[in-house]
Amino acid sequence: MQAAGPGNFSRRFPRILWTSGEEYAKVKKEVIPLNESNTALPLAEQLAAYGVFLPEKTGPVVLFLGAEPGRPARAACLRGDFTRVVGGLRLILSALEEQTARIACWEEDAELLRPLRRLLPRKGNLRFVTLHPELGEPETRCLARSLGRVMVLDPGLCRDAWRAIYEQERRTGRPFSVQSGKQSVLFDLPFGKSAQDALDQAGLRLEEGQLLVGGSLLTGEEVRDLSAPLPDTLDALFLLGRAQPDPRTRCIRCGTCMALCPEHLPVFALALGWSGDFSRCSACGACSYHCPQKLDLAGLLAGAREEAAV
Amino acid sequence: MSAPYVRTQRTTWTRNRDALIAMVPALLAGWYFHGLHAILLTACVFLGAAAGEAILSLLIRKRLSLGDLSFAVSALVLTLLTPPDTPLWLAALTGAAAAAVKLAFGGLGRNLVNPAVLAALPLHVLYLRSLAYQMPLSPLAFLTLQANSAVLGGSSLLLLALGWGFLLVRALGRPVLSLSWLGGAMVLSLALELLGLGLGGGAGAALLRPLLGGSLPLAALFCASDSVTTPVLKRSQLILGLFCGLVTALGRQLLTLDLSLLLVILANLLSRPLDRLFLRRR
Repeated sequence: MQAAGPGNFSRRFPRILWTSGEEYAKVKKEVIPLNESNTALPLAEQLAAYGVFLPEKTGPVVLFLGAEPGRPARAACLRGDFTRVVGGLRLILSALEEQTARIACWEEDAELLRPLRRLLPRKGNLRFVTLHPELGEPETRCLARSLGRVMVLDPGLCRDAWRAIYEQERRTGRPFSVQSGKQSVLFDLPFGKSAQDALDQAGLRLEEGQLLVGGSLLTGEEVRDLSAPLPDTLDALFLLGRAQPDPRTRCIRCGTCMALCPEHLPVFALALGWSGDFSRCSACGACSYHCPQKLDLAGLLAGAREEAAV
Repeated sequence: MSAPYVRTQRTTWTRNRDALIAMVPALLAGWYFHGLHAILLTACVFLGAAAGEAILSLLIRKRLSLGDLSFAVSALVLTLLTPPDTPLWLAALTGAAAAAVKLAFGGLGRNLVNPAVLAALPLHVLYLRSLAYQMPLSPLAFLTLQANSAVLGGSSLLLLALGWGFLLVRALGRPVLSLSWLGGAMVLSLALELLGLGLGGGAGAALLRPLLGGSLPLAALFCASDSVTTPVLKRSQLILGLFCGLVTALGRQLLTLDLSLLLVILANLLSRPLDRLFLRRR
């Protein structure tokens, strides 16, 4: 056993790299004493133990929790400045939509989850938890406005949540990946292997009209060369279904985007192919998340801002 | 900061479901006043719309979109706009026509005009009574749940208003457009009455007349609540609503014609240009 400490651990495992099988089990075993003996570690170090490194100035971290009968718990950690996270989050959430976890499945972890459960709505599914201990009030309000359910937890509760996920994983002994309809999200990438290997391992195939995105949906890039080794900076691969049809044909002009926009911008105009001044857009993603037709309004807005800048 | 913030995400499906719920009270009133034939009419319109959409989608090889309930919303609006003594076969045909109109525009979100209203117009021309102006039954009709008997959905003003209230609670609909349309029609009706150009009956009757004995409440409350074919900007809604209200009142008083359904189509066509105009000027 190495000297306990997340620093050592993260140096040896610079990313979330574990795969299924023996290697996965080995990593997990080493995580256990680390967590149990360092219950008072700060959040950043706890996350580092899982290969997630916060930037110098800690931005918000969004954690997906999930478990359902017969399936392993899922978790994904996104980082970066939250305005970018939110846009990507929406797409991941829609991918997760049908498989959203029920906190009830975690009955066995009642001990760990009691503090967490107190914060959750009594009914409905647990969508995600924000893990930013220093989130200010404006940000919290904006998040609450733009996302479905936001729980602001203190680091102590985060630790419990992490432990719960990882306990659940340990029981099932499988890495987490999420599939929903034509979309798949792989969170555990085989280290040093190619995208094709990752797809094979998950039993997926890149088909005609599908798109493979590495990184995150907003900040990531399309993975074109399936045979090249994946860079170790990648957190996740997104296998997306057919490209979205032209938003202009799908906008139902309900006006939700404008009503929920903090700046009250007429975002629907973009979806209809009209131009306008969108320089005040803060890229919070509220329009995208709440669009009943699930149009990529955040993407359209980003395009409009770029055009304006040129 | 420690309290969880809960907000649910809504989809096109939930929006359409809410729209359906909002129209159910008016439909039930129609069933109550017009009996079995009204129920059969409803079934025929729905079957016609579903079958029309399914068959036409197959023919033009478009993905079937019965799942988002938009066909049901169109069918229900159409049912409410159907004269109660329409033959069943014609009702089914009209339902299919509404689906055809919707698909001809390219499906949900691309309609320039409300497919249900466009499909209902021929019925109203065939059954001229509903386009021709009818004297309101009595000012008390508002309270006694009787309103226009020319169309199925006009059986109860109170229940129409109740359904529209539900739309507002669910943050659907276009309240500015609906209220300015109704308000415009009522105020002009009153003004014409006071100027001696009205149809008589006193100020109270003049105020209530636009609401009773025509399709205006249906048009202004429900047809104008369809988001696809109405303006998004409040300014456009206000202008369009006032314009439609004035024309409705003028049509009733001077031509004794109920123009509200035609005005829905006109408003549909004007909504995008108006929105665009105001967005350009910002």
